[in-house]
Amino acid sequence: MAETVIVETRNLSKVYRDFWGRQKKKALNALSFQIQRGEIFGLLGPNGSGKTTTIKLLLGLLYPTSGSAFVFGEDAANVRKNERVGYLPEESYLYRFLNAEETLDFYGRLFDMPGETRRKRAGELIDMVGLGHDKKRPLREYSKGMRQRIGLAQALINDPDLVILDEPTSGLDPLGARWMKDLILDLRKQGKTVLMCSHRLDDVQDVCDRIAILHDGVLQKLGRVSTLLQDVSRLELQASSVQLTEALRDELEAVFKRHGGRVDTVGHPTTTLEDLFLRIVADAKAHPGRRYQPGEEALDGGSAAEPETRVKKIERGT
Amino acid sequence: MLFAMVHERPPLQWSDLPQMLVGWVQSAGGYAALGLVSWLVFSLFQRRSPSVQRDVGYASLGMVGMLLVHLLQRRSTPTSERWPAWLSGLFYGLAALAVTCYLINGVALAYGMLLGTVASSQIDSILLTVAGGAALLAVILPFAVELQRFRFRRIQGIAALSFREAVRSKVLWVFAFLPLILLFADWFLPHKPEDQLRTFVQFVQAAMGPLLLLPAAVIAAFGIPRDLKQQTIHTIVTKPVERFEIFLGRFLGGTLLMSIVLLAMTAFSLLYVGVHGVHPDAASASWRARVPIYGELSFRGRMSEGAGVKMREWGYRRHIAGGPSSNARAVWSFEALPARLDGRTSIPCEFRFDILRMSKSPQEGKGVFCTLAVETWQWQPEQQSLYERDLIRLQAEERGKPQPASPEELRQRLAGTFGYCEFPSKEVFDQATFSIDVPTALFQKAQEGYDKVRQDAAQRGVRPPPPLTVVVKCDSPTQFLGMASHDLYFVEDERSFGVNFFKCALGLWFRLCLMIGVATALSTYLSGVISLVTVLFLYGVGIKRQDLQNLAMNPAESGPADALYRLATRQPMTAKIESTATTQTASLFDEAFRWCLQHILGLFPDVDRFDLANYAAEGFNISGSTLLLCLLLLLGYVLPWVLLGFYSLKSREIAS
Repeated sequence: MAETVIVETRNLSKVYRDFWGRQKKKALNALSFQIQRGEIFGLLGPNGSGKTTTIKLLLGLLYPTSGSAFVFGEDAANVRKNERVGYLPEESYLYRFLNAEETLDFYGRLFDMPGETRRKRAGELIDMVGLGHDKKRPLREYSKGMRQRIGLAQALINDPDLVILDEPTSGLDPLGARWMKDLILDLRKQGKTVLMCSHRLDDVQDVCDRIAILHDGVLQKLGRVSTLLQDVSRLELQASSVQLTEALRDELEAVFKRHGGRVDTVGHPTTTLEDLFLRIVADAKAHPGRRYQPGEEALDGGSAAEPETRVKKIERGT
Repeated sequence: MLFAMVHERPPLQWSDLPQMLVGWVQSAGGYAALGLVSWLVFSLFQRRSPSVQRDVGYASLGMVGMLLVHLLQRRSTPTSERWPAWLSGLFYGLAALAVTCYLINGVALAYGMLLGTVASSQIDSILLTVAGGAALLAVILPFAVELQRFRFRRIQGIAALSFREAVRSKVLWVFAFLPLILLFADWFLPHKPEDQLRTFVQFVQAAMGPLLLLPAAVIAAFGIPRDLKQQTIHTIVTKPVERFEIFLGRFLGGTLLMSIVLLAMTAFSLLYVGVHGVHPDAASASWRARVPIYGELSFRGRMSEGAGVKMREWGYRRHIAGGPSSNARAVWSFEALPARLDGRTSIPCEFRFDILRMSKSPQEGKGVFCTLAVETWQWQPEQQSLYERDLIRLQAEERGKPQPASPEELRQRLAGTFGYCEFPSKEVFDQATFSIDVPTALFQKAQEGYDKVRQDAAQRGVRPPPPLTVVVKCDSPTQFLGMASHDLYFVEDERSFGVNFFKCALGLWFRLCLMIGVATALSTYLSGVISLVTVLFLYGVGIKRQDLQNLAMNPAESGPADALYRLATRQPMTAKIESTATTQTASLFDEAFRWCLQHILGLFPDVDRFDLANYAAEGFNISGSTLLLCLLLLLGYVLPWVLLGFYSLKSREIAS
């Protein structure tokens, strides 16, 4: 695990062809980027921009038309690299006739894990994703959110060093989405590298260190989220313990005028709808039967996630 | 009443194995070489697969390919998977050898055709075998290399998944039909008492065939395509799973499920027979498993006088002419003799002949008469007069006794002395089985001093005379007796019917494996429905493979071009046609047509070989060697399909 570059693509291109070899679509065009160890890397772009194609090329589900892709320094088509990779597909394509325990046992076998280790690990992961009460139910009876949770559990069965998440919050309610984001952040804390692609820009903004923005298979922008979002032509000032009065507004305008600028807006900041929703739900849980009172914040640390859904560090199976 | 195994073609024997192997290597090797060249063309135009497959393609160019591969290797990325130099060398060398041999063969053939000479068929065969073997090994090599990375636990996991999938999709309900069929079996079964068990066995096997084979084909054909369609395979191939492990897991899962069902159904059928009861006549005919000892058939006398002539167009039996003046004899030479003789006075010898009447029998309902003589190696024809004199003497002695011995008993008494026993004027009917009791003394006599004869023959480098022969002569004038090797045999022992019934189910098991293996291989590339239709087509044609094989192999038969020519010129099929440029072209076309047909037939399984139902139905033991030969035949057929599945899965883009 001495490598620092976990994922690398060099001029990676992919052309989809029909049976006769005629070009149908150029999905990816000379994509080059690197993902460092311990990073949360986001792939952004509209539908058909090449996000999922990139992930499939990295997983060996597709072969590149030209260029190359490396994971842990090995060719992406090499099966051996999968020992250290966990993958959560967009739709949690799992076998619906299996229950949660059987599902994790099956995927554990694919990692050649001995029976005892498989059972222990499956139990831990089921508890981690909060499906302890439903572990005997077949997956076809699960809700979308529950399938996403068991999907994530199977992706973590081998305690991977690289976790690839395709639309991890797709179909999840705000509570589930927050839980997933917390978990991704915890994975980073454990030193794991995460590559995710998502349509939900707020999710990406919340968790990703760096992002790549794709459009029509071409890399448009690559960099740190904080750097890319920074608007250097504007200035934001936040203050507390002070009332907004006309006098204050005039004084602020005078100060900015003296420095050659102007004040565009002065007012109270708004929270996000997600934050408001999470606070209401958390308050309702804390005080059953009472309506939510703005200002009485029930959240502790700003997270509404259930305690049992906190990600745990689990030792890799032998 | 006795039943006999009717073989419409010689059953498989170990002695056939070398020839079968050569044929298999040439045929499968030809397809392997074709695959290598196709891959080359494909990979040259669409280079989107991993490096190993790309190399396979280049290597198929043979000598030129080797150069190309090495040139490209220098430019390849350092991280892509590489074989050790010796392994790569072996692979390219084998591919080059295959291409070189095919080229030499092709050049020799073209040269021969131009000069109008025929190349030596032996050299031709050697070249094709070497080329085929090399191409096969080249194709097997990447598979063998990957084999070491396979993990049983992963394969077991996928097999268990496949098993669960089939069980939970309630496909097993189909098999509930068998008890229903058995409950109403009496409605369809004939009421002749002696046929009861035979018909039941044949009926059960016939019912179980489609009942098991069809669901097996469906399970196997739809497994991988469903995974691809529902994208569940994405979560498998993104684990450290070799793609072929998915194939193996699917194959083993399906086979395990169907094996359990087959076992349960066979046990249920046997239980049904036990509960239902067996008629005594049926029990004496079929509730047994006779262990036969077969001999080698040859003919004595001139063919022009009717010895060993083939009288029927489609049969494989040869005939001997009957009548007092006929010298035609059928001779069975037995190298092996019954091992257990203690406590037995006689060993049954059973036979069944095909009767071809050239004139109507003078007496209605009468059969044809024949004489059987069992001779040991000590018997000399010059002793015939001495033997007859002794026989007359014994008959004279018996005349005065109150209970004189029958002539048959007297012959048996002389058997040990002369090493000869005659069974004169046995009346036989067409396709009916008869039995004679050959005295044990004859076998004991045959064994006396035979080891020394064998040693002497070995020292002189000649083949020793067989220890025992059975000579058959047809006594009825203008009648012909038809026979093949397996139409006469000694019954060495009898085994349990129940065990034999389970062995007979193994025949169906072989067909199940074949169906599941081929369907799984096809489904790695084709959709579920197309895989199912294709495997059923292959199996269906495979049932009639022998007829097609006869059509392809029989040079006496007219080909399509010859038939068309005769039709156009209004010449009868029997007329000898004049040799012109047109007829020569037609003949050449027919030759090419036969060659193609013969090689295309290799794609179809020889299904009949796996049908062991008649053994159990007719009360014959299924020997271990028969089962082993069936297994080898199965492996020979399924292995190329497995390789096809391996390359298909390996090269395909799972997510495309």
